Amino acid sequence: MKTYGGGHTESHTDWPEPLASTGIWNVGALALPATMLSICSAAVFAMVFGFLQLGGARQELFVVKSPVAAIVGGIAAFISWIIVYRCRHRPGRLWPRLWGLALASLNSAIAVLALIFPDRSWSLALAVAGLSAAMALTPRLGKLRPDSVWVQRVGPLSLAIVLVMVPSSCAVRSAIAKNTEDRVERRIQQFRLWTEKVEEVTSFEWSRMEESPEVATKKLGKLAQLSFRGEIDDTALWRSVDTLGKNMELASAMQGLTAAVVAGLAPDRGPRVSDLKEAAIRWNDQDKRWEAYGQFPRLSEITGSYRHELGRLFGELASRDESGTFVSLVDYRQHYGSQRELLRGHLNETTKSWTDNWAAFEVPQHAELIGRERVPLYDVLQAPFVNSEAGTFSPGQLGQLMSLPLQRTKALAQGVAGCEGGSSFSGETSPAQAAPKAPGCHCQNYEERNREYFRLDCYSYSPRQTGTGAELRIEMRLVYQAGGPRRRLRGDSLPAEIYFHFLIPEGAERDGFGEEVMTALAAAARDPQKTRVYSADKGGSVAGGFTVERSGRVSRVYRPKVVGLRGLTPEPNALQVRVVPKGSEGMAGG
Amino acid sequence: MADDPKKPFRWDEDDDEVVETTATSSMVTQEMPTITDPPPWARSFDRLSREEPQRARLETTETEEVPSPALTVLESLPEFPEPVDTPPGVDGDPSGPWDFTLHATPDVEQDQAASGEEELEVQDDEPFDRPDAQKLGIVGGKGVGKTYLFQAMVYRSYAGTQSGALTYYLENDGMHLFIAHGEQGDSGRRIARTGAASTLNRADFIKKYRQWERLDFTKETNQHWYRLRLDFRTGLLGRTRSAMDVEFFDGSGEGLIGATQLTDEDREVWDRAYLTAGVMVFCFPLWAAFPGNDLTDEEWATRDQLISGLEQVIKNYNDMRRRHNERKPVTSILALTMSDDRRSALQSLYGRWISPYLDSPNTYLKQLRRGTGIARYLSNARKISEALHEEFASVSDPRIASIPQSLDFGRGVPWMVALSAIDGARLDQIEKSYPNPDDPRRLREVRGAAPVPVHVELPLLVALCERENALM
Repeated sequence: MKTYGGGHTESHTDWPEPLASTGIWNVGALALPATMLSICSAAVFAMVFGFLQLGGARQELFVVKSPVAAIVGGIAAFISWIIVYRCRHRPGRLWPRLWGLALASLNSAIAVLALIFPDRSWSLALAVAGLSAAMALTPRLGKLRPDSVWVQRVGPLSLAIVLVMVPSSCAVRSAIAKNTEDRVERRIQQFRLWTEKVEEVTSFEWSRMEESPEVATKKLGKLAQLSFRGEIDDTALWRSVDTLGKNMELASAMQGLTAAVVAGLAPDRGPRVSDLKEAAIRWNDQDKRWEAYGQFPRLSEITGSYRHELGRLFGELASRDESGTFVSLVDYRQHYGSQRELLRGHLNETTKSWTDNWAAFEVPQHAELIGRERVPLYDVLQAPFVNSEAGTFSPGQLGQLMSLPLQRTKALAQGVAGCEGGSSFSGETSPAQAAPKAPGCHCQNYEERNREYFRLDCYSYSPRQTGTGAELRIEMRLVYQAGGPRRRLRGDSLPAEIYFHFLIPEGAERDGFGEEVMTALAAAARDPQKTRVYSADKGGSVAGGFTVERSGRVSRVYRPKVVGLRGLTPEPNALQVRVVPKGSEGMAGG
Repeated sequence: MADDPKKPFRWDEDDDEVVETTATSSMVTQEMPTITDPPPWARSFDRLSREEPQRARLETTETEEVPSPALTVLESLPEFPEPVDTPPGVDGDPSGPWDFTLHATPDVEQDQAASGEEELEVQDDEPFDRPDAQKLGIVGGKGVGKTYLFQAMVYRSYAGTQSGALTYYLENDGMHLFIAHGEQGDSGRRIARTGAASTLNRADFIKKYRQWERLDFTKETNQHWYRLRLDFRTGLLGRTRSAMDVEFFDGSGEGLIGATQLTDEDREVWDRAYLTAGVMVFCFPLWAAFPGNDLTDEEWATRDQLISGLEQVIKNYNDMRRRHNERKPVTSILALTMSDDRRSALQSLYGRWISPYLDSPNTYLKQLRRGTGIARYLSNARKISEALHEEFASVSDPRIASIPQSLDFGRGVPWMVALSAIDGARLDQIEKSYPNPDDPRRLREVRGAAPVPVHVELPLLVALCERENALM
């Protein structure tokens, strides 16, 4: 047999044996890729969780806002279940499939735990560890062929994943902890800033809002922009604050804010309709019709909104955490409780105001704090319309009012619109005493048919059915009349008449309302010591009128009459009640 | 025969008088029978009764005529008849045009006839064509060792614990073998339809291989469809037993796969066998790619035929894909068979990659039961493949150098696996020493020396990864 050359020359001599060492890539041949990735994933989970839980008490700073941890856990569970689903038909040993299933179950449980304990650092640590483990396992979703170089590189890749994940998790932890620290500081500063804003609004010169309602509206807008919802019971924040030792600082800032809000609701703070120079309506004597004060709806709206917004903010400042976990939060809750009582006092005080009582009912918490939806008529009639050292008078004190000399009335009405000039009779007041003693009242001194008149008109309001504004509820006039034509009023002149308009509420039955008014008026007029009330009806009913006697001076209260307030649109109906001294019925009847 | 046990042995050495050196491969050692001499097993099918479809029985007599084709018998079979207790082997006697490919193997029936066992139970347990089966195409020209490779695969995966790189995945006793009943094409020379599948007796299937008997070339009249079912555990908790079916068409390298002129019927078989195969194994002897310097003229001529055969196979495969406008990527493997053959120039490859495994199979099989072993094994297999690519690139013969690029079917150049289905030198030695297969001395000798297939499970692992992404 002949042989010839021309054969191939072997260029390689370093062929490997089937199980020869793979050198530096030996680490990649420790196990098959599925197993390597599972081991890596388990290691990542343990190491990331371990690292995130290191750091002592400061680990509590590793928190994020709810429901971020739950979302992270949910994403981890989603990825894990996808891996389990996609790999469910893979052949091979038990360990990789067991780890996949365990991780998916674990991540699902972590997502639920993160929902239940959103503010705990361990729940976030578990969620991040679970997500890291799931990410480490995601290469299993890729396809790998036996001749791929990645069969050997998956091992080192796994190691790289661990090496990247662990420091990454530490960096994430540091970043989140720093962020939490900053968040605590920012929150404390935020509370202080809010306090400043509230004080800025509440200290505004609201009595002059009539002059610049736009500015007042802007101020009010600042209140409307504030919101403390969810800021108080942020347990993650309280825990972080505890960790940082700034709990007193935070509690103090929060207490300051709560106090500022409640202070803004004091009866003498904020806008009041009693400060307005004009009432909601007035009688135009020349045109003989009623005129509405065009600014009143807007100004009363501002007044009501102010209290509504402050009340809302106070409600948002409430803590509902009753766990008692954080001492500072418990202290704050106690402080809040005391402020609540203070607010209750403010509202009760406000309801005693003849003119401004309605504003108490614009505070959202009025029902729980003062237990009613509006001030009863009797209470309104008992509310003083003038309150000074010289005396306190309420519209229901018919006996006293009918005995009130003009000189004293003018003294009491010092400073109210129309009486700015002071009294020429008493000389009791000085220019320095400019503060109105009868807020919500208006003076008129005029002549009519050659007679001099003096009227003190006082108004009481109720909340509107819609919005936060007010509407007229009662108008009271204390009328003085000169003794005869071309005669002047004297300082000792007594009222010629007390004149009421009770606006009939929408939907109210007139007779029933009339009886309610007369009953309340009679009750308010009655003074067991000095004032007696006699019914004009033998049956004892005061609905048809009654007589008031005080110190021998008798006044007659006539049966109410329904009148339309002509000139207003729409024209409201009111119950007109007149109180006239006995002996001057002719005037009353005129 | 070479004396140095580490030196690659040359296949068919000293068999000049029996080796076909021109038109046929050196692997052919048996005399071809005439086509007018139908084998007894084929004749036996005419006895199958239409009246007894559930349990078809037959008697075989060597002198009987063949009055009806086996197709008739198959048509009479119910959809799911009784099991086959005595399944066929793979490569029985060469057969003529009447040699219909059926579920029974000639050898087994011959053996049965010889031993007086004349009953054959047949079972169609399920349809052979299953859409979920992973088709593994093993193609190559004539004499490249396709049938040996499949026999070696069956042999290697027979025992779960000795399945090499597959051990990690397989269940114990997790291999099953099926054969398609098949139906004749119009010409009576092709399996045009696969029909139902029957389980095969694995021990009988590998009997010849195990006993070092030389396998014949697969003729176009003796082609079979096989399904190798590999069981493995799967499911969320690993309690589900799943299986991967690898379909293999044992086609004739000369008459079909490497045929230069394909008929419509040929194309139909090509389509059925390989069009949907996700993994294609192209067999080519290592020595033909990298011949040594001591080849004879005849061996150079044989090499030329092998190269031409592979070229024709690749052409036929590409034509099929083009005909069906098939764009789906296919993973290709270039199985460099007969890597133990001493005619190869890559003797270092033999010494490092083949010989250690061949000499100490248990050492490797034991290590390959663990994931660590498989990972390292695959790493080295990849290095071998990369080095072989470089070897191909360094060959001056463009017919060889172009092979890797011509096997890129959308998944990149092929993975090259140098493997050995059986120790060729040992086979030659036994055959030379004991020409009579029934020689008791021969049986005694082969009883103590089982064949060692080397790296033959790698294509199966590729198929498993292709289907189930097993590594991940």
